[in-house]
Amino acid sequence: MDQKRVKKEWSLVMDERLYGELRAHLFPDDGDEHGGVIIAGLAETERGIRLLARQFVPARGGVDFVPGKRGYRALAGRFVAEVAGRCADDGLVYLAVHNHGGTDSVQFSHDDMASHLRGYPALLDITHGGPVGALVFAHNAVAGDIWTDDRQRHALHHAQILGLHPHRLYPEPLAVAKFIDPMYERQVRLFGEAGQGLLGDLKVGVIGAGGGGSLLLQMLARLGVGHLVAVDPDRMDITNYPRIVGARRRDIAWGMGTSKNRIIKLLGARLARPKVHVARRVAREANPRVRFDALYGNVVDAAVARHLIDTDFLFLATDTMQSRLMFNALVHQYLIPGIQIGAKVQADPGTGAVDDVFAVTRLVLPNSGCLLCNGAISSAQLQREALSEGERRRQRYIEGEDISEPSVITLNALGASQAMNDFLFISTGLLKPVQVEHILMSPRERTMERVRLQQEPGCPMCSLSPGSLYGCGDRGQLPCRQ
Amino acid sequence: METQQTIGTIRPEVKTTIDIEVNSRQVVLHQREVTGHDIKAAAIAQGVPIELDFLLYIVDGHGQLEPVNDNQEVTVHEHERFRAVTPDDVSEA
Amino acid sequence: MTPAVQAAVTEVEQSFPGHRLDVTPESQGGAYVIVHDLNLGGRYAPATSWIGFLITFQYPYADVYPHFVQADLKRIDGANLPSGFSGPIAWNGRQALQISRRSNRWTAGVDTAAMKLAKVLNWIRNV
Repeated sequence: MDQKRVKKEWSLVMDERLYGELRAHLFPDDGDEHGGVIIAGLAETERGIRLLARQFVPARGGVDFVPGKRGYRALAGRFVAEVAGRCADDGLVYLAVHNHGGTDSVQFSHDDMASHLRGYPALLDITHGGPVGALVFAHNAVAGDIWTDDRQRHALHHAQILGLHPHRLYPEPLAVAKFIDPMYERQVRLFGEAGQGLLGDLKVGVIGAGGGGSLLLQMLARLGVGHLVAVDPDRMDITNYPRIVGARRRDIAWGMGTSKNRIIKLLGARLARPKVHVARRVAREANPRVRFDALYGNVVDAAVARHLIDTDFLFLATDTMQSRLMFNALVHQYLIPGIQIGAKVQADPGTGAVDDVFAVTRLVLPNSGCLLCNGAISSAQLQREALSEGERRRQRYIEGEDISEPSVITLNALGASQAMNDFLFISTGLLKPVQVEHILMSPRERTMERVRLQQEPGCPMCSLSPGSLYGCGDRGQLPCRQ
Repeated sequence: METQQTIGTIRPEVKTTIDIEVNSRQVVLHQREVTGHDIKAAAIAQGVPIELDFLLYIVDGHGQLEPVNDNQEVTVHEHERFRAVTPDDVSEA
Repeated sequence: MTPAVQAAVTEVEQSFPGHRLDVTPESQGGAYVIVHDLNLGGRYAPATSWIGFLITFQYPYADVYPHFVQADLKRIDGANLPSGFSGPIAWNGRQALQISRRSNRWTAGVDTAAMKLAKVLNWIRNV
């Protein structure tokens, strides 16, 4: 038996669309009980074990949900056998679902638990070790009984509903008393002590600690987010110094990297600080209590990506298509809400004259249309980025060659600030009813454009098509470098 | 002319063993013609955590389920897969 | 090789039965693939060639291109090779002509390395 697993907190994560389907089926205003199964993925992390709700399979009344022999109702044997078989085939978790009356608290009855005892050892076998389990919902509460292959049972701590208006369900109301640092007094007036406490409990990842990422990380720290993870494989240099908040001359080795002397130049490159270390220093100055994981590495590497699978929110602030694909995969495979920011200065390749300038903030929420569906991931650029420098040179790519694009802090700040307000208002429940959209800001015209999203039915990342990554967690394959 | 007679020939006993799967666990049967009840009883005797009143299904090559009733006789084949489950009861809240 | 790249290689093998395949995994999880003795149609000398390509580690999200053929390929009518051919360059330890046919709308989960090879071969035969 894995002792660590016994002690870890079990939670359930589901997107608000699935939760809506579930609620509509369980609570159709007839006062009766209804049932079904949630098929889920799993993420085993330091912070606990997350069940990732991928799909809800409703049990049809009178066919799949029938009068019980030992209880009031039952999920019919054939329904159980079929859905358990599907979970087995896909390596996913079987979670039986039904509802009770009541509002803010719920628990399993004696009959419910007796049924689990009878039937779940068999389901563990069918699903090749599970886990398997049951969830019981009230209007505003959920309890869970999760079985693992060591025949241990684990109670569900909470369910997290994701979306523009996230919230949590517990088995019973949680009394929360937190110390709120007086330095947050002014922002607490906006979102309350509960909101500040919530921010303190969040773990937020930022992929990219350059111009955009450094702004995000500083703002996250100043807001009081409790745990930050920053990922970037680069060191500082003189050309990004103007855009990285809190950077010091020492971080770029006082400009030694630009020396004409080859040895000094090499030394300068070695002494230049990794961007994530600069971000960590800046974050700690803003909030000495922040926990900051500075990952000097590439998100495309599996060992680095794994540090992000238990984040509560994920930002992307990079230029590479490979990292964009990884971000999209993490959001949908591990059900993590995300935002991508970017800024672009389009210049005429011949004359260098500036054509267009824009900043973009893309909300990327599970089950709302991903970056793949919306044409933001170039398959050609993915292929190009995987080549060695020599291969790229020999194969003479004309477009997207390694030419540094124009970049300036004010543009980065546009995207970062929209993203941070999106994050803040989503997390603290202050967002008004809006659509999940991409926002394109054109500062030269002083305009803003909203881009509605689409979702491709067969998307291999965000749809429920067979073999898709959605909600698979550890049971799926991230598109990582081996 | 001598006639050879075989008296009291000992023939080796042909013992049938058929390996099947019940809920992904290997179960050994000793005859090909068995009932649903026989399959469940053998599975229980060999440690599969089910009960005799569980519902039994055979899983075909496409993953489709065919019920096998307690009194229904079937001819089992090597590595055939069966699934045994019980309805999941819930109480009135 | 990643499982997706492995599956792509298997599909190439099944789609081009009877043709020898050389598969060389690369360090990131992709693979260099060479399919031998493909019939290029009646316009070329030699009439058959190997065709090689790299399936990168983020396949099936990444496109599969360019493709490479033997460096001494010529048109039998003496004309220049059409636009789309370039080189020869060094590829995977040999000299090769490069064929750059980027997919206009690569769809992960639908488009595959085997299908792309078939499209490229069709283009070579008919261009």
